[in-house]
Amino acid sequence: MTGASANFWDKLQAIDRRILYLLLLIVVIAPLFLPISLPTVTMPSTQRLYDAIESIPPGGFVIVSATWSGGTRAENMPQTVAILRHAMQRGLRVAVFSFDVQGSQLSLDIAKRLAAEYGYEYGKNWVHWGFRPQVGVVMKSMVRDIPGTFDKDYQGKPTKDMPMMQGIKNIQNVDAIVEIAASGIYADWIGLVVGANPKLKFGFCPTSVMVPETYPYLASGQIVGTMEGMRGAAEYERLLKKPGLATVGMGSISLAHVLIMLLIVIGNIGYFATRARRSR
Amino acid sequence: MLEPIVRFFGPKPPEVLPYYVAGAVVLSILIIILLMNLPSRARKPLIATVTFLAGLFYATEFFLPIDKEGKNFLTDYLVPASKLGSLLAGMTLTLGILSLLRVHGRNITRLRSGWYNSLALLAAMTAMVVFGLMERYGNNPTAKQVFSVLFEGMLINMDATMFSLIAFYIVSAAYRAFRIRSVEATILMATAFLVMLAQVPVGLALTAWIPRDSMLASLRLEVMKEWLLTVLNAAALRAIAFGLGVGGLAISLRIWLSLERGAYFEKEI
Repeated sequence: MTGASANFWDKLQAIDRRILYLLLLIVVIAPLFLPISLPTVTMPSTQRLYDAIESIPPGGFVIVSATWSGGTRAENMPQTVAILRHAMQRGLRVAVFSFDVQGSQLSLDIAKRLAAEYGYEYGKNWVHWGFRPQVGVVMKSMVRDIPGTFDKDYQGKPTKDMPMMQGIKNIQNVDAIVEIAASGIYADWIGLVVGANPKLKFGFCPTSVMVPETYPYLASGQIVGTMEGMRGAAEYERLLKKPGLATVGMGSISLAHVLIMLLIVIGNIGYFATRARRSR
Repeated sequence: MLEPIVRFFGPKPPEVLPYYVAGAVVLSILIIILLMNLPSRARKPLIATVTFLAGLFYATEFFLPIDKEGKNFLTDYLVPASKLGSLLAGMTLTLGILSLLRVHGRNITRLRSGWYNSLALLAAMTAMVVFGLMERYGNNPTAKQVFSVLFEGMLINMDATMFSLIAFYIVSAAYRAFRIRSVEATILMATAFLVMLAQVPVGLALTAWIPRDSMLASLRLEVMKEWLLTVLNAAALRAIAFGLGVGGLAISLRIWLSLERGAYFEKEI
């Protein structure tokens, strides 16, 4: 093996990181301007979440917790839009809140926009309970007393007399809870709330990196269904027949995954060629 | 028994609310002064007692038998206790802010290296607090616009930017570190490739031609991914979860009973 070829294999293992960054930037941005049409397959977990919301009769009570911030907006925002859209399409009563101060504002913006689209009236069809600190404390108390736990909305107005809160006393009166989060908060829901109402449907919409750890709970039925990151949101948008942000973003996500795999392969080709050369 | 206390801490009519707030502030200041002047040897027993009582409330409520309504004599106090918890969280936030002001204020007054970063932090924090309060309680439209720029225009986008940078580091790290040096590394990479491919439509398209009802259906990427995640991965995660659960229980008991040692538990307070 010549010095030039040896140098080539070494270089293959040490591509300048700025080139890698540039490649990633291109594959992420390009599909946003030049959309690529890709086939989607609805995963069983997404279908299960969709079916669970679909099974709730109109007027049913759904709590959507948006525990996410700007950092995971790319994944969690399309999920929030998809769940709220589905609930409003179905004519369900929707209560939104967040354990994250940013998530509270972001989910409020989304809910307001969708409420206007579906003619939802604040206080009658939907409510926003605002930001709530103290995850465990809130969950424990909402099991027994929802109006007491969420006594005021995001503006500080009392929620007790709102038409949409009529008949809602405790967790037994809730049909479904959907948590959209970038953390392992699902474990708190399962540990403190889900078991208190056997009929309650608990859905979880995590970021992609959180997905693997949710599978034991999906298998046990404690999580009724999940929306797995942006891909899950794209699948849900497809089920709702309302393509949105997630569908557009799938091109970028796909190409970024392919780029990472290609780079790993290239690095290993260089590694094996160099090792073979040394062993001779 | 606890009803008068719950009533005392319950909602108050607007005409008497300012007196209650003023009273609470004075009382809090007195308690803080008292705690600060407490001898060192008395602090630990006090913390241990409060911790034990707080834990005892939740543990007792959870383990005591319930009546037909699903309650025991402590159940009705869960909501007031949760509000007390929120108040304590607010107090810790105040302590955090005071600590930031002290540390960074000192950096600025003594012109320590990087003092301008401290100044930027305090200026940003003050701006967010002032305009946040004005947005919430005031009627000034300019203040509302400024808060919108600060919160939605800057904070949320900066948060997203910081998080997005991870993608670039992941690409660089995966390329440099992922070498097939052993059998284990080979299995790990093969599995990672399968899951990654099945995670995106471009990968799913590779095996989309295999009919779902054919004998070869289990070779479809999404089916393989599902099997990996629901069988192998779920089993491993269950084992980890059990370990974490037992560990969590042990550490909770140690903290509750003030048996925990090491780190800040042994620091002089």
